[in-house]
Amino acid sequence: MGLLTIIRKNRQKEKEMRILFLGLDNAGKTTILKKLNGEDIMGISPTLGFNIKTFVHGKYTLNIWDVGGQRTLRPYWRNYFEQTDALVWVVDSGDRMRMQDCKEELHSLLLEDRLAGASLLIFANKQDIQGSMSSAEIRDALDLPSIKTHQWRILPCSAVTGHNLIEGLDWVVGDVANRIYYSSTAEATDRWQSGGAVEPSNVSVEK
Amino acid sequence: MSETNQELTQQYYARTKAAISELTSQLEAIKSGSATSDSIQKVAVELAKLRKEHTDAIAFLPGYDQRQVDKQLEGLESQLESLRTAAAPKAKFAFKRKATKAAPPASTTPATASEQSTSAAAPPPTGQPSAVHTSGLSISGHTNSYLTLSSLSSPWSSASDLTISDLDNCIVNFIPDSNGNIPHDVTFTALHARNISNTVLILPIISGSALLHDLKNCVIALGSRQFRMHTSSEVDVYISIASNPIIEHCSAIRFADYPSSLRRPPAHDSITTQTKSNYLAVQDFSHIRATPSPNWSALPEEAAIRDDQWPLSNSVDVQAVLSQLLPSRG
Ligand SMILES: Nc1nc2c(ncn2[C@@H]2O[C@H](COP(=O)(O)OP(=O)(O)OP(=O)(O)O)[C@@H](O)[C@H]2O)c(=O)[nH]1
Ligand SMILES: [Mg+2]
Repeated sequence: MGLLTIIRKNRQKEKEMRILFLGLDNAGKTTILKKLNGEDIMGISPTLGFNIKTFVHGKYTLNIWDVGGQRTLRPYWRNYFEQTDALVWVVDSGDRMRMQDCKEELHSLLLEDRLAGASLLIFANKQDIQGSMSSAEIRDALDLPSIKTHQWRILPCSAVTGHNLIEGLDWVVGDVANRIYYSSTAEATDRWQSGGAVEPSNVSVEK
Repeated sequence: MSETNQELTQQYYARTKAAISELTSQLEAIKSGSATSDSIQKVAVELAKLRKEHTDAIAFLPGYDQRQVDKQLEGLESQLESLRTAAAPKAKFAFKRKATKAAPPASTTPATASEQSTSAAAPPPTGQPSAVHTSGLSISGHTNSYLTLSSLSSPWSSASDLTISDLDNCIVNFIPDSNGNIPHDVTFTALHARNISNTVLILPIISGSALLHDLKNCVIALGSRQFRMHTSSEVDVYISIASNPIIEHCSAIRFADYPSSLRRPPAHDSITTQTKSNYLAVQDFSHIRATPSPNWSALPEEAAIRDDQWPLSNSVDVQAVLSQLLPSRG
């Protein structure tokens, strides 16, 4: 209990979360973040390297890392795993031809030790495009039900219309908060105790 | 210190060499037999491991060795990519059948309303997988043909994604017809193109992104918000774009501006039509260095297709036009 108290205190002071946006190239990661931030989404170029965005969401500060997903960049994803509280996996729901590729990349990420504690949100993006796959189809195409190592959720969304983007972030923040931060509500306390998987390595947030 | 480095380098090099030659022969075996997604998957996993090791090794590998290994890995990756494409249909059917199980999500979070309602809408069981189901517009599997908007698979709707795949020796003309035979107000919200050879693609300015794989000896004219081309070679690209065009694992790609003769009065996508094109702001993700990429160049004016040369009428002799316009005319 002593250690947990310290962890809670440290975390509470900072109230920071580190969220990693990954997914194949063209999925819409950068567009989602720009839309959330109220920026123009028209002239976005494919990401060569990464972007960082900081949002204040309720009482939390979110540091969001958006890393390019072109094939040649994927080997570098691992450089961003450290201290990740949540992984947001963005899928281009219209890209049927690369669903297998998408599934393989996701499942190999989930084997990473450094992502072990992270919550997982799957954004089934581009739902505004006629002909895109539904979130249920994507859930099966990506074999999400086989994921036992991470708390996951899939949400259909559109970066163009903004549909479900905030809802997605809400879930991520809520899920991470329940795991990591001490919350005053009884329900959250219960989850906190039953969740239990807090490691001291989660403590230091300063970078 | 230097000894340790040298040792590390040597060990790494020996291991990697062996692994690369092993993978090369596995790929050969897959190519000569029939590619199954299982065998491809195995190679993919091995290759990904090698890639990771290589990324780790960058810290101690001399630049020259780094590039050598990098090149070999790239070669293997692009071979794998094309094999994956070849085996892709199987992968696509696999999840169709799974979708019928309607298994509840294994997540510990309660299923949401959205998840529930969409899984109820999953397609009914089908015995034999038939054609890949896309509800967008698509055109696929033609040779020696002149293809227009009226050759498209599905009935019209005002906005849809467009899939073009498996064409050889064709001319594709999707510029809306000024005679009014074809709906004027069609907008494409995304383009996916794959496995196209010896073909001229004349496409309008679309309002979404373009993703292209495995084009060989083609000409493509297109306007889009983003342009990403993978594992392709010998392609002349005439593009109207406001962001940076991207190539990856490509060679002999030439870029030019979108021809003004193909522009139509801007009905929807005023953004792309008004902005000046960035057609030479190409980024080669396979060559992330300060030196210029050897994989693309500007299309010299004398080699470019003249405004009046675009084969916009379906009465042309397809073979004659192709032999005149394709990058490699042999
Ligand atoms: N119609 C539609 N288009 C979208 C949506 N989200 C993204 N796009 C388009 O998809 C293309 C790719 O978007 P990006 O945000 O650059 O994708 P990314 O995942 O950041 O790609 P990388 O940086 O290469 O990893 C752009 O042309 C976007 O305009 C969406 O919800 N609907
Ligand atoms: Mg991006």
